[in-house]
Amino acid sequence: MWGLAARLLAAARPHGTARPHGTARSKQKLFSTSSVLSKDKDKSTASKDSPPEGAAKKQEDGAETPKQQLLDIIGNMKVEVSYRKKLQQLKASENKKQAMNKVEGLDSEGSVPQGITEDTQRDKPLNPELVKAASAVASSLPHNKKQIESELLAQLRRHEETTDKQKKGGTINIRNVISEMTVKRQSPAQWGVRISGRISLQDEDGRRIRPERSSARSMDSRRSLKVGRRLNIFTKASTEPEHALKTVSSPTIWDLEFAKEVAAVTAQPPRNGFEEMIQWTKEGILWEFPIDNEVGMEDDAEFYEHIFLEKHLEGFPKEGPIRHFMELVICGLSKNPYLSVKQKVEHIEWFQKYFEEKKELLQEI
Amino acid sequence: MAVDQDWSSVYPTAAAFKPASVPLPIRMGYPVKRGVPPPKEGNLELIKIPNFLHLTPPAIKKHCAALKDFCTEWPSALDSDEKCEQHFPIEVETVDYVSSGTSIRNPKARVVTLRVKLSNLNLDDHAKKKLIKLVGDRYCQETDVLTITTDRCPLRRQNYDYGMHLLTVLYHESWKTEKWESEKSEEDMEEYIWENSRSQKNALDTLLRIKASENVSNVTKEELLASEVVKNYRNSVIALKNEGETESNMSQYKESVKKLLNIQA
Repeated sequence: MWGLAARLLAAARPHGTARPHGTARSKQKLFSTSSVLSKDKDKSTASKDSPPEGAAKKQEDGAETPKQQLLDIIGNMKVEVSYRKKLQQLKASENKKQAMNKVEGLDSEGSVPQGITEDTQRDKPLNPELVKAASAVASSLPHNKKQIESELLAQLRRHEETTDKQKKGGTINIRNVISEMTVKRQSPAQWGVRISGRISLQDEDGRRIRPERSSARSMDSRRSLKVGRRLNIFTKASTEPEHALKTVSSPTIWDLEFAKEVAAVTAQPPRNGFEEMIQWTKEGILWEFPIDNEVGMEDDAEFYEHIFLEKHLEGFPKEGPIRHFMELVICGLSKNPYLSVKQKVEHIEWFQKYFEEKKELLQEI
Repeated sequence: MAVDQDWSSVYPTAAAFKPASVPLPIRMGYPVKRGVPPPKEGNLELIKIPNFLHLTPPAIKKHCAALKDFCTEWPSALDSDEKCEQHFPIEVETVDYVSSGTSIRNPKARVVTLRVKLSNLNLDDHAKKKLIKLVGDRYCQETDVLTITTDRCPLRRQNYDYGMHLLTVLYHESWKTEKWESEKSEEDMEEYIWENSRSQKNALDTLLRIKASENVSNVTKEELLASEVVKNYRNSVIALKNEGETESNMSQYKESVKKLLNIQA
């Protein structure tokens, strides 16, 4: 709000000076004030309007008083919509633009530029040879060429997207990390200690009464005094029923808890840096040296399953544009280290199914 | 700190600078006006920077002594580079990448490079030429090293297997001779061969005409070819074509031409 007022004043001052461009520019800035996004959007839409607007404003400036200018400015200013609505508008306009591009792309016949203009979502365009082969296939199947071509190109684009995703898949999404983190909860016993401790400290005229200290102390020292199997060193308690009990129950939750408690108690904090590093390595915080970048990456396939994919081409005709296209697809897949063998086979099978359907349609005709 | 205290136990691992533990009178920072840099107590500049106080030479000696138990000895028979190359002609190179980040993965780690000298492979003349033609840029003429780099598979062991497979296939294919190889023309030749070349034809024609004009009895081509002057000429032309033009090559050519045409200049 303050920035807005400041800019208004700044714009109002240089009315008499012959600086039409300056005022036009500052007025443009006023139109897009707070969010960066809205600035870009308005610049793109307003850039076309600027020459006529600038010319109109030049004529106006000389004739008007500053007050009139201010009123003009306020009148010309767009109503500041909330940020979320602006985002939604932006998204809607982007979607419309992409839809327009796709429709335009479908209508045009040219192969190479079509492939490149349709890629509004990817940085690099599809291999032009692949696109040419796709258009050759489409032209060989006379029924509905454009649709075939668009479907083939869409499938190829999907290959590339999965490739890209798996390429970048190494970086960890922060959401995954946070979702797996759990807040450490204190056990109810400890809560009880805290609360009872607090309550016991002040009681009636601030006299400090500590009635529960002894039991609290036993709970403080992590229940190690009263919990657990009795060692039977001092009392001649009967050992029979305990053995019977042991055989009856498999490790109960309490046993597991006890084991964890013992481990936590006996685990001393690390005495020096080396022990700390050992502990971190056990926890997985520190990588294991010597570093192997592929630790944990399982891929049971051998190299020939990745590279020699011709055996999957048995279902396709031996010659013709379809074969040529599929050979190019296989060449591309064999050079792709980011897909698994299963994914590559699935891609080829998709194409096989697709061409089967088209064949049936052809034979109908 | 006592003078004989063991420094490697004060700083066993990388740690921040502790002014009380480090007995050196270090100063660091921008000096105040007409003053000196600030002292080490509470000096953030000294704490911020990484230090190597945990890597003093005695500490490193201790590390090495501790690591020695985990190491295997270098085989004593391989004490020179030539012996290593003789017993292990193929060099395999892989790279592991260290980084400070959350993920240990690095896609560059799957690249495998195989290097082998062709002199270590059992190739005859035809096989060697065919192999060089097949691999193209991957062969270096000066060092006689064939380099194969593979990264088409996601895992390193797959790329290694693929590289070895490629080497095997190249070796076997270069020994085979296909039918169409007999159509090898002069442009495909790697080096200049004088037999059946234009130079040979021209030389022989000239000599025959000379002999005919002198009315000497018909000398056969084989005799001419076997004669010294023609042999000299042949050698000088081959040297010129294969090695390029040098002083000695040119003078040799001049001499041979003079002898061939019997010009006493």
